[in-house]
Amino acid sequence: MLTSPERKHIILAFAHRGEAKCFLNELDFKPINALSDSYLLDSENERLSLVITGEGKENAMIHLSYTLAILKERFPKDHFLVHNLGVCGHLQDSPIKFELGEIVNVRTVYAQKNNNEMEFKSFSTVPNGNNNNKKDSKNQSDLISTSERILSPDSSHHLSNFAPLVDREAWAMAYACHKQDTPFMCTKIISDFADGEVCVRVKEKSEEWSDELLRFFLNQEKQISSALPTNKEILTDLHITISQERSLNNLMRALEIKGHSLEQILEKCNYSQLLAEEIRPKEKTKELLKRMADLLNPLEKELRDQLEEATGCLQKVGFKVRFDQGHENDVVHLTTSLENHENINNLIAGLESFDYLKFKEILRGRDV
Amino acid sequence: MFSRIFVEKSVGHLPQISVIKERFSNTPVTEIDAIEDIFGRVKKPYLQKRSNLQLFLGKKKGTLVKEAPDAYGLAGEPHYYFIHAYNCIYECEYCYLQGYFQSPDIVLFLNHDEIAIEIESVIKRHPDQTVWFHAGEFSDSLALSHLTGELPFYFELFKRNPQAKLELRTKSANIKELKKLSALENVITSFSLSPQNRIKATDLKTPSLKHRLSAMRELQNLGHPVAIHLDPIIHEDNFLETYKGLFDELNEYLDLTSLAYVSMGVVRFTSKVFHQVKKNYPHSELLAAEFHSSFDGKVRYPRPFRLWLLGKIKQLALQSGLREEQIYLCME
Repeated sequence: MLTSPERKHIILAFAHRGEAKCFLNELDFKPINALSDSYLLDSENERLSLVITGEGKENAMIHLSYTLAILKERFPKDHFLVHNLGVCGHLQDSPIKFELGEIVNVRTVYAQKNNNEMEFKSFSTVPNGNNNNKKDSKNQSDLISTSERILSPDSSHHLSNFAPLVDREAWAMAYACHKQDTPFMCTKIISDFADGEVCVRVKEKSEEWSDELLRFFLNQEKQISSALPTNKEILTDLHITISQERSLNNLMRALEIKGHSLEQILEKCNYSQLLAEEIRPKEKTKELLKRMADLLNPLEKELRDQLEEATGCLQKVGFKVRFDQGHENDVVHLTTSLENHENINNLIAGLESFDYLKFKEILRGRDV
Repeated sequence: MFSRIFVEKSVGHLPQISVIKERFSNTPVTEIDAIEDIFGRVKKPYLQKRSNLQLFLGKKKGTLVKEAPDAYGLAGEPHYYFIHAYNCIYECEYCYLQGYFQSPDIVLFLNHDEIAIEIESVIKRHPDQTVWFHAGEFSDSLALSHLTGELPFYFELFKRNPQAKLELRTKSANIKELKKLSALENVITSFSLSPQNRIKATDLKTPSLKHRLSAMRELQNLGHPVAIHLDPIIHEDNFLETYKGLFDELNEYLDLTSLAYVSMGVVRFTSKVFHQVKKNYPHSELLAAEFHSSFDGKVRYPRPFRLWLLGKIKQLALQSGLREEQIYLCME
């Protein structure tokens, strides 16, 4: 949100060169130095990379992880999204039916470990993974990445209990993305019925399917862009550390949920007045965060003010006052230093003037 | 409602299976050896309950009746819950089920006879006490009761054991099956209620407040003991106003003095569930609330705030005609 300008960077991930053929032919990709089977298309507003990982989970995981890491290092300001496109099989025992050549957006990816055992971890895609409304579920489905190239009828039947579609790479790609905190999308064209007659059909139809996927991708480009965050106003007048930026973003998000716009937030926090103050930029950031937290949590501020008032007499004589987090106990922790006899008398006077019952009432929920 | 039904071989012969199959005649049915071969084997995203909810029918294995945590029910008596189902058809943003099971699919256990044996064994262990048994810990007690058909069985069980109590916890207004049964003093149906604006905001797919109150009124008129859970209490800007409105509506529909009890609990989450809420409902008002990590590791409002909320609601309750002894604080 409050970061330097980001560029959209979509990585198109394929398992096989055949699946990527039309993308490479039609779009102006150039090979990327020092990265095998990887290509880049740089345009004004966005970047497209294309990577061919090779078959199977291991190849997909290793190749995509490496490519992602290198690209993130080369383009640190880009906002990445990985889109896996390719063919998949359809398990005929599944009650959910698709036609050959149908294009499906994958919602959740699962994985077969071995025989009839499943990997527990699953990964959801964006934006489809987070969009589980029934009316939007047309042509959305789940998919299992299998360990075997050809499934036995037994395996096929068991796997159909979890999802109707199978491939061999998507889960590993999703895992690689998850590890690198990168959103993942997956679109498949149904090439076969996972019944062993895959290879011949794929060879004959690969260019046609690649073309279909390219058309689909170009049409869907608009949807993809909405999955990426938009730029927001940058608070360039402040010195913001990474952890402060995180706090700022969290507070901003929460305040927006409560219905505050950015302009309202800045106005209520007296931002322009804060900028004019003669304090260091670091202090300004701290103060802004405090004001935003108070705006978000007015009752906590009220409680804090009441406790401040109740323990004022203790602080005045030099006690440092601390409370338990969440005030789960009727306890106030006091620390101080004893320096001389007069000091001790002051501390005693402070303690005697402290109204513990009033303090307890506040912690027990007296009107806030 | 369901995209697929899985039936364990061991329950395939039960009459309830035919009832369910007939009711969902267009839903594909698959026979399986054991629910645990499929359910929970993979992490199925919680929100897939909206578009791909599956139903599992089978037998509950292992412990069927468990001791409830402290402050679960009225103090001074032992409380247990029994497990008749996993997951719920409703979708409340704060629900702990989103962080509990690995799948949102509905599981209905049909070995009620075995559950009954365990219940009676627990009752025998507390010969001089009123033991409470709660249904609805991992599911809603009434929402699917017209399908599962187990209510007459439990009514018979608790008729045989008048010294024990059964609580049916629900957000449903589905009292069809209850209405067919003669009221028992020791079977209490407790309804979770919130102001209607809160129900609309966070209790997705649940019946409206009016529907639940109408259901409660019908049950009261038929002599069934009813109770209320004001849980979870969630703060908002006009909080006192909305709860005053709620109590006004309660008074309109019900005889408050003859309610079995009213429990009150402020919203709370385990950290795992709160993480799921952030993931599943990123725009929820709950994420802008003043929570913190509490004494038991749960995410809650700070204690002074919780006590203030509970104090205010209790005040409203007493002003509405409820007696002190009818009210208890839940999980606090």
